[in-house]
Amino acid sequence: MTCNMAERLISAYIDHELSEDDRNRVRQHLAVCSSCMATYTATLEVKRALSSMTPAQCPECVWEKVERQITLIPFDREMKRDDSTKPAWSFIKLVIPAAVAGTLIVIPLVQALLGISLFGAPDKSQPPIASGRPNPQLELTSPSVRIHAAGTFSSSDALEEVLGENIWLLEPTQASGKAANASQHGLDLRDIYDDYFMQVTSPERRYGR
Amino acid sequence: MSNEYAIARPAQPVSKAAEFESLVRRHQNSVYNIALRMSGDPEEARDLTQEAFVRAYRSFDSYKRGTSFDKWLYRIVTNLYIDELRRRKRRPYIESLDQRITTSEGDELDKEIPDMSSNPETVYDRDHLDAFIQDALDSISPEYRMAVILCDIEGFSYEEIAQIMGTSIGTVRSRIHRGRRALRERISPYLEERSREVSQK
Repeated sequence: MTCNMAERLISAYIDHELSEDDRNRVRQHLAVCSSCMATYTATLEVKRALSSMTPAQCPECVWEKVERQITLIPFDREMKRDDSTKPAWSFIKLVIPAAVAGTLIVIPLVQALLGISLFGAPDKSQPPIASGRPNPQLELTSPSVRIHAAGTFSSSDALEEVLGENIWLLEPTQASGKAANASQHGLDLRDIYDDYFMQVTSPERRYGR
Repeated sequence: MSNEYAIARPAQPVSKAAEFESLVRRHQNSVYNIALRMSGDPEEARDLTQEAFVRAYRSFDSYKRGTSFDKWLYRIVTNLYIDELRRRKRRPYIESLDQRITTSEGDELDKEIPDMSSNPETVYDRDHLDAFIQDALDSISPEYRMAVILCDIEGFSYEEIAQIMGTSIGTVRSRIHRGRRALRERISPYLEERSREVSQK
């Protein structure tokens, strides 16, 4: 055993927290190494010094203050709270808005970006957006748009991830002077975006009108 | 550590507040002692202890009756103390030891700085020894300090400390090793000096 290894194990050796094998190896090393033996002695003194510190008594005023504070916690709230239903309700409270918002955003997005219709045959009067022909109203500022999910989201984290990485990439073209919209699908992305997501994206990544 | 009475198991149905008070009174000295060793300041220790018990009361419903109350409580205590002390350290109050004190009359005085190494009368004083060790404890990181306090002052095993601190036994071993090494560098010269003084007497 090297001195470096022994030095690392000395504390656990003192605390009887080593396996029998390691304990024997440290003991054999200490028997032949005066430097590590000195470290062992000094570490043992530190442990003894700490354990001999005068124990402090908690002042009585502490409990009095605690008692005053905990009596302010409403008793009925504590008693009525049912922990078995609380997590389920918290989950539902998160999922419902996330699912609604996700549906509103993703369906138009998938249709707009991929040029497919999720509800029946595509509208023949509108050219498919992803057919290789330039779209006069929308442009992608990044080639790596990824659609993480379609339809619903199971959590607000998934929603935020889609927002953070995809939604903001849609920007209005300078040429048209119009903001990105999906009017052909009856929805305005800006409004949906503003209504639901301005709060969860950082200011510098917000969609600029 | 012997926990023969550390398991909360009321003999008869009692109110939540009464059960909590009984457990608090049983553990308040330990909780305060850890707070004092972590913070090094009695007033801060009182605030930390008070906050720890209020937090424990708020989550008392999550405590499973029949399990070790002290480990459950010390987990709350550990998280609170480490977070609080780290937060407070970000805005430290810095004062030069050489700075002169201005009295209410406008006079200026030099500060009286205790010199632990030169005065043999104070070297042997228990309070000064405690103060010296406390000073060394204050110099190490809160995680190392808590691990060393739980081991050397409160007497918990590495496995118990791992449960309390929510970490692995390997991390506990490393924290105690590093913490004691840092303490050794500060305390050992003082302890050697002290033992020399004792042998010369």
